[in-house]
Amino acid sequence: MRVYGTRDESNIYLERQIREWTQSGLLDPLQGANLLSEVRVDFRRTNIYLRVVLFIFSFLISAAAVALVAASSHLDDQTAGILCVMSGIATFFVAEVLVREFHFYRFGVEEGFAVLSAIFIPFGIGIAAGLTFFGHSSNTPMVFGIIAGILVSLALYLRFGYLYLAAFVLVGLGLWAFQIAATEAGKIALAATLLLAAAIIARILRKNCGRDYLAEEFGAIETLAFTGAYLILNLHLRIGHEGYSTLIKQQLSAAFYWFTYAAVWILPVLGFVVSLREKHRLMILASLGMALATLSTNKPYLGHERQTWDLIFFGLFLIAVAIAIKRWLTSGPGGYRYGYTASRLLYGDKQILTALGTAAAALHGTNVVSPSHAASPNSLHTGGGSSGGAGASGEF
Amino acid sequence: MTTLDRLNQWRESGAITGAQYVQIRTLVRKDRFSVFLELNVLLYLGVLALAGGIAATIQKYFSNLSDVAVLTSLTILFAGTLYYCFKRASPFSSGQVESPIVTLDYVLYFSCLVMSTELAYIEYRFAFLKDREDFYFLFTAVVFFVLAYRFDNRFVLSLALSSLAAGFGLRLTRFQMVSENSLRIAGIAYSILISTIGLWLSRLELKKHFLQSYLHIACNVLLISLLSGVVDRTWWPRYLAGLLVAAVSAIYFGVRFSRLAFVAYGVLYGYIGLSIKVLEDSHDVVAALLFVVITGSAVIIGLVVLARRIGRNE
Repeated sequence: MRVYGTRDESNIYLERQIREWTQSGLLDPLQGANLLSEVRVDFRRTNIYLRVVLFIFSFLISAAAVALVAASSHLDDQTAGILCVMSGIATFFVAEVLVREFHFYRFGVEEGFAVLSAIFIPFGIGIAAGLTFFGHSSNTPMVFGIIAGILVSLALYLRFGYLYLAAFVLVGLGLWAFQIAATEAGKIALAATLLLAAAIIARILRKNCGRDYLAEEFGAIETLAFTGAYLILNLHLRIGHEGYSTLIKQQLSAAFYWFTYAAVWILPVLGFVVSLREKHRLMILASLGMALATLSTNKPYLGHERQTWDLIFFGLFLIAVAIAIKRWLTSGPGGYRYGYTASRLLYGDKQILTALGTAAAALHGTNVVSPSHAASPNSLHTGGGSSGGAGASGEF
Repeated sequence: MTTLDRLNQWRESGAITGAQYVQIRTLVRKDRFSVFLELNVLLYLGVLALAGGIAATIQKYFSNLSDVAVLTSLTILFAGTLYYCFKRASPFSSGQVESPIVTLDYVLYFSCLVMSTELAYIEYRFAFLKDREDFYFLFTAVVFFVLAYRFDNRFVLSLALSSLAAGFGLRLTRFQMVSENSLRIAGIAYSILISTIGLWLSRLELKKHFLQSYLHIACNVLLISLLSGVVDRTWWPRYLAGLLVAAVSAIYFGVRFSRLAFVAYGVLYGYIGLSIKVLEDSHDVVAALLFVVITGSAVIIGLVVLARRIGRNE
């Protein structure tokens, strides 16, 4: 099914590991070079930055090419839908050729074409089935489009192994649930159930998988699906719409509302228990994120007003937890407890922190606020940001 | 074949020693597992929340608190945390220094955020500098630079760079395509200044590993400043020329020093700037799409050739 051979993918996975071990000082450079030559594969690959740029441009030119045909032909909806489907099939074959003939592997170009295929085909099916973007139409074409999107994305994931296509499948499952269920509670429950089912399937596949690279992939899908279920169940995480949360709350029965409240506490705990037992890094990080989201939405859930000092307690809590864990681990024999350590073992962790440190400049940049001396000293502006980082600012 | 099978093979063939085998196997089997990254993320978020909470609380309740109480608390917090950092830190070194304890970096970061809050409060309440608040930013930038270099702290270096940017009047929220000309010039001056500082300090062998942070920020600020000028009705030819020169330079030096992020910056910003100008007054959709298809294909071909020449590693 996979366009890449098992041995090739295993070697690419190993290559990444060898580089990490060498950078971390576990292998000397000569050993690293020797082992790398053993796992060398005949694929054309590139750096992550060029990969992203190539992805963007291949996506852009193929989308523009299809739009060009549509714009110069004045097509009706059905023909435009068929054009989209044909274009999707064509971009799939281009991606296939780039991999099979030109040996591209995560090169960006073939990824752009494959992703467009996952967009064009369902989009075309939806349009051909009567989907309109302006005015009212039944949701049947939308459901067709979403189902097609799920199937095409799944097929493409199985063929090329791009994780973001698996993410498309999960998003599609959520969207599908929201289209077919009649009530708000039904939508949320069905979407969360589907995603949890996907997480369980991915988990079973991961546990029974004999190949490390595939286990890593299934682990990522399991984490994505589990996190997706959490995001759907946490009603107070609907981005940017406080009124929307209130509206949703009014549409739900009290029992269902409190069920979701219980779920957003249970899921992170469950995630932690499972991931800490299995030492599943992605799931640990996701559970951490979910736990933080649960803590930050607890007050809105209970209908309490947020206070400014909540942030202080929240921050102190996080710091205290981090220090307590660190001390507990460090005081264990050789700095380990149950195989866990607070020390850095691999170079990759440091690289991530370095990137975070540099990226923090952008965060500070967005939080700089300008002084507003015009205001009376007794009426501090309350809409400004916090100190937020980048230097002193006169406005509070 | 799994990673463990390969490790066994390599040990048997003598490609790795027995000790290396044991060490790597414990990692592969996850018998040893580091939560270093997770603890750092918790500390970072904790410090951000704590500092943000303090600022928000003062902002909301300052009228119920006396200036003395606020300033005394913040000063004690700042001085205490800074004292802790000096007491626990390793001696200064011009090279890269690992923090002796994981919390130290974040205590210093918190200390800097508290100082920012305190200065903001002082300026708001007493308005010593009135309209010249940029001096505050410059002052904090200098303090943060000193602390970043003393403690080898990249988070504080980012604070210093963004404070300096604020001193130049640059904020991301102000970077809109309609921003004023002076802001763009400030952006250009800022990026030249920080890249010069970064290169100079690097030549002095002072925290050479910080250079990348300087160059990434400088390159992005420079290209954003020039790009925003491309839509300027009067000065666009100069900005477009500047953008193209900067983009080509980023690509050239990115290739030369194998720093492909800069190649990506150059290609993206350069292409966007050029496309904006070409398509600005075009009402012909077909021609515009044709332009995207042709130029986009040219970029892809160019990058594929480039990728083949310079390999994949940075």
